[in-house]
Formats: sequence, C-alpha cells, structure tokens
Amino acid sequence: MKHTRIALLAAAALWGFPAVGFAQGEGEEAPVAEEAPAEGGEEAAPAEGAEGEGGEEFDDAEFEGEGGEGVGDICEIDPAACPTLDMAKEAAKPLDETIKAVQQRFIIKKHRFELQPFWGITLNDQFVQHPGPGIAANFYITEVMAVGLNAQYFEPFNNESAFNAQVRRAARVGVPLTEYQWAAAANFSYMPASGKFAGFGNFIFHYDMYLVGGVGALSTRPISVIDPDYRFFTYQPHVAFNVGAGLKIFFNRWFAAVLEVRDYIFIDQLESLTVPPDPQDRADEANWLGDTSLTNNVQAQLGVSVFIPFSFKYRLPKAGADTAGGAK
Amino acid sequence: MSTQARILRGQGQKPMKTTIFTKLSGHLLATVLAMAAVLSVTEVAQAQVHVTGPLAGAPAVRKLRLYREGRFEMSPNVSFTLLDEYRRNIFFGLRLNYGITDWLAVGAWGGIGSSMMGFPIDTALTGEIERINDERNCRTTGGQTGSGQGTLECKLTEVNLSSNFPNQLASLDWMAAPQLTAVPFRGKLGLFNSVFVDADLYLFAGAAFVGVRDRADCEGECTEDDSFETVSRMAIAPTFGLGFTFYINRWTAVGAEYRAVPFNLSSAGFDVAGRGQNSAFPDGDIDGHDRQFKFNQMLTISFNMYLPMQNKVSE
Repeated sequence: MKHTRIALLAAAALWGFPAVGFAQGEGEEAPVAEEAPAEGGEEAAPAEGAEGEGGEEFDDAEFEGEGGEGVGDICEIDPAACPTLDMAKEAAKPLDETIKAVQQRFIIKKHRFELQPFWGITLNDQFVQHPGPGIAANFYITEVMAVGLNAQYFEPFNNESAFNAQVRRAARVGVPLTEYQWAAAANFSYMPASGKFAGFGNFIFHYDMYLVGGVGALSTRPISVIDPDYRFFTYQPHVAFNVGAGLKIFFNRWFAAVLEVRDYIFIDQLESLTVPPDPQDRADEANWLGDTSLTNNVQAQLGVSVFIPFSFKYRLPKAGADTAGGAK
Repeated sequence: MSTQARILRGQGQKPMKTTIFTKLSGHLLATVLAMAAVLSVTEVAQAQVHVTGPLAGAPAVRKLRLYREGRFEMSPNVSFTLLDEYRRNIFFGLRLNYGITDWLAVGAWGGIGSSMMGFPIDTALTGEIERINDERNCRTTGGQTGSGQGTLECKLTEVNLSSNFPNQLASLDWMAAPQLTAVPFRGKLGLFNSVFVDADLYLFAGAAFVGVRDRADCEGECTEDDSFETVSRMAIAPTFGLGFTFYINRWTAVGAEYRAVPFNLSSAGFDVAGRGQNSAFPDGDIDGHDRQFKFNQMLTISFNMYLPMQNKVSE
C-alpha cells in the first residue's frame, strides 16, 4: 500500500513537471534550485512548487513484483494480500492527491506558543501620539491560524503635539484631545502568505504575512483643553475592535522580527466644547463631557517574536535534509 | 456651542509631556534592531559554516529572473500623503527607472498634486477652523463690515485668519525626484500556499524638487486680506523610502512604496514664531521662521511595466 502511494506520488510529480516547465516559458531552463545552499543546515532544494517532489530519486525496479506489475515485497510475504494493479488503469485515474507546494517549512508553528514584545507608535493622530510598549501571546492551532491575547500600556507615553498649542494660539480653536491608558484584546490571526527573500544574493531569510483581528478594551480619557481650570477626567475603558496585518521576518526557527499595522476602533468620549457661564455648573462633572466619536487608532507595532518551545521536529523527512528544526 | 467656549486659557501652552519618552522609544527601537541584527548575523554565520560538499561556494540563488537588469521600468502611480494637518494631497505620477544591474537602478519619480489639479482635499480640522472663523465674522467682505470686528477673538487672530481660511493653506503642487534605487532583497511570496509570485524589496534615495504654494512673506501689514495670498516657490529636499514589488509576469508588476520628503513649509500660513527665546513666539510677521519643519510622507501604489518585455536569467 505504501509503495502504491509512492508510485502515485511519483506519477503526480512526473505529471506536474511539464507544467512547471511550461510556466517558465520559452528559452528558460527547467526549474532549478532557488534555495540557499545552507539555511540552518539545509541543503539546496528545488524551487518552491517543485520542492521535494521533483528532486527525489525514483527507482522503477523497486516497485516491480512478479510479472513486472506487482508492489514489491508484500507479495512475497503474504501472497493472499498481494494486490493486482493494472498500472495503465491506475495511471489513467484522476489524481487528487494533495501535494504541498512547500515541503518542510522553515519553521513549524503548529502547537507552539509565541511571545511578542513590541513597541507601538501612532500613525494617524497628528494631535496626540500614543506610543507605548506591549506584549502579545499567541498559540498556534494550525500552521496558519493562531489565537492569542495582547496588551499595551500607554499612560506615561502620551505625547501631545506642539502643533495643538500653535492652533489654539493662532486660530483660537480648541480641538478635543484624548489620551490613552492601556489596551487589551483577544485576537485571532491567520497567515495567508509566506515567502522568502535572498539578501544581497548571499543569504536567505523567510517571512510570513498575517492578518489579525480581535476585540478587547481600550482605556482613555479626554485631555482637559477647553476648561482646564475645572475639568479633570478619569480613565474609562471602552470596547475596542481591532484589525491589522503584519510581516514576520525569521532570523532562525524561534526568533523573528515583527512589523504590524493595526487599527483599534472604538467609540471615544470627548470633552465638551461648551463652558457654562456659572462656576457651579462648570464644576459639575455632568457638564464636562461632550460628543462621542468613532475613533480609529492606527498603530505601527515593531517587535520581536519568540517561539516556544525553541525546537521542533518535522513529521516527515526531506531527502538529504536535516529533519530537526532545533534552536540555532 | 459658544464661540467664547473655544477661547483657550493658557495661551502658548507647552506640550503636555516631555520628550524623554520619545527618546526612550528611540533607544528601545535601536536596541531591538541591534539585537535583531546580531541574531541575524549569527544565524547567517552559522548557516555558512554548515555548507560543505558540492554546494560549498555555490550562489544562494540560481536561475534568478533578472527583472531589472538592462530594462526600463515605467510605473504610473498614485501617492497619498499621510498625517496632514490641514490639507491632504494625492499625487498622480510616473516613475521611470533603468536597471544598471539587477540590484541598482537610476531614474526619477514625479507627480502632480490634487491641489494643482483643482481638487484640494481639506481635513476636518480645516473645516472646523473655517466654520468658527465664519461664525466670528471678523472681516469686511463685499463692502459689509464683519459683525465680529473688534472682538477679542478677531483681534487675536487677525494675523492668522483671513476671510477664507482654505485659501491660505499650503499645498504641494508637483514633485520631481531624480533618485537611485537599490534592490537588496529578492524573493518570492506564496499566497494561500498555492499562488507564488516573485517579489523584491527596494530602497531609494534622491533629491526632490517640490513645487510648493504657501503664504507669502509679509512684514508689518500682515492683517490685510491680500497678505494671506499664497505664492509658488520651489523647495529642494532629500527624498528616500522603501517599497515592495510583486511581479505579475515577466514584464508587469504591482508595487507599494513609502516615501519621505522632509522640508519646511508654512502649512496654514500662521504666525507661529519669530520673537523671544529661540524665536518661539509670534512676531506679527510672516517669514522664514513661520515655515516649520514637516516630515512630509506618502504611500504610493504603482503598476510597473518593464521593457524589453523579456527578462534575463542568471546562471
């Protein structure tokens, strides 16, 4: 049975080979290695799309039993179990075997944890920057899907732009401003794209692109701009949804750099733009808050990613390659 | 909503926080990058040690499709400016490059801004200032004296706000930037593990010639309506950035890039500096002090075409 599968795989590989060749177009040679000679001990492999399948040696004689069409040793061990295969018919059947476009990914993520400390900077707020450190923790359910949590701390880092003071001074117009305290969210990540880059034609690194989304809370408060003599606001958490996309560049099998852009979307509470004339009314907290505003806090997050455990083993071997993806 | 409510106490209020955290974030970033670089170098070094046998000394990539070498690139593109305070700009442009090698190209990028094409895109802040300015009704227009003339708000803003605020805003009319492009990273991208495209990451740098319109200089008579008119000038600034190219086939690709063009301009035509310590306080005149440093930045998406249509392939 095992040999049958191998035979079908080999047939599929042979079938797929002309297609790959066709994709190269005229005047170009057959697909050849575009892999580094050594990435953590790997030997050169054929290009993706042909990686693995097309590269293994195939010995027809190994699959020839009695009459030239058997399936090898099983017929000698148990003649009753010896299947009779008409190879012409088998070859004519449609092939629906799944052939992985990329064999032995550089990094196996399934069932590993990921810790991701990062630093976030605001991309879309000219008035107040909300930088801050954060950390994310993910657990990979599959190679391309993960669930996780993230948290970020802003409070001491809010930075009001000098531009606000200039507008207030020059145009006598106050813009309601908000500062952030913390954020936390539960997230789901999906990695639809991965690839590799050759740097300076000399070394190769792998990368993933991922999409992330989640829901959590963001604690904010208005900065008292309109009536600072009377108003002092406390932080209040708001429900915040987030969506984003990121790029993860692997330096080895457990360490990567991460650049992510994420939009935290929430309903923010702004300071009231009106000041009651009566001091007692001015002191009344009920008069301090004004409109709400749907706010998008778009952040760039730069960080590193550490996968735990550090090492892993590939489930299936790859010819001529190191099967251990250990820490390096 | 009373106008008075918007009059602010603490004129010339300093920014709320010190810059120590900004510095801290810079140091943290530098540390992280340094760590990453060290780990990266270590990994590469280890990888090189393992190379033995017939592959020793072999190139990292064979049969590389040389998309740029000896080819012209023509890329119509659209650029969107980021973090604009008062006016956004969309540039419709073209990039021309010639690949001297596959990793080095010489060329130019240029574009015409949406303001010059007749559709300026103002921000919500501009709308809000204009609305309040209209409410104040400080100026005489069409022979009619403004009802707010003589009020405190009108006196305090007479150097800074004309009767039509959007007309005094700066705009970037056009840009032309001869530049060098380096392509240090070449590779491929797999989508859903089934679609594979070649991709590269490039860096570029050059000099930008920028057609700017901002408020003209004036001295002493900067409250007159005609002193708010904008005039054209050309700014010369460095430009640099990075981008990705995703190749659709041998001669077409799509790209996305980030570009910075930092230089000084007077975004709103306000009198913000010129007097006092470090010239940090308004002086009643509009001059070079009021043109402040702005890190102009934009995102570009492009459709690239390469000629001749056939690319070379490395050994």
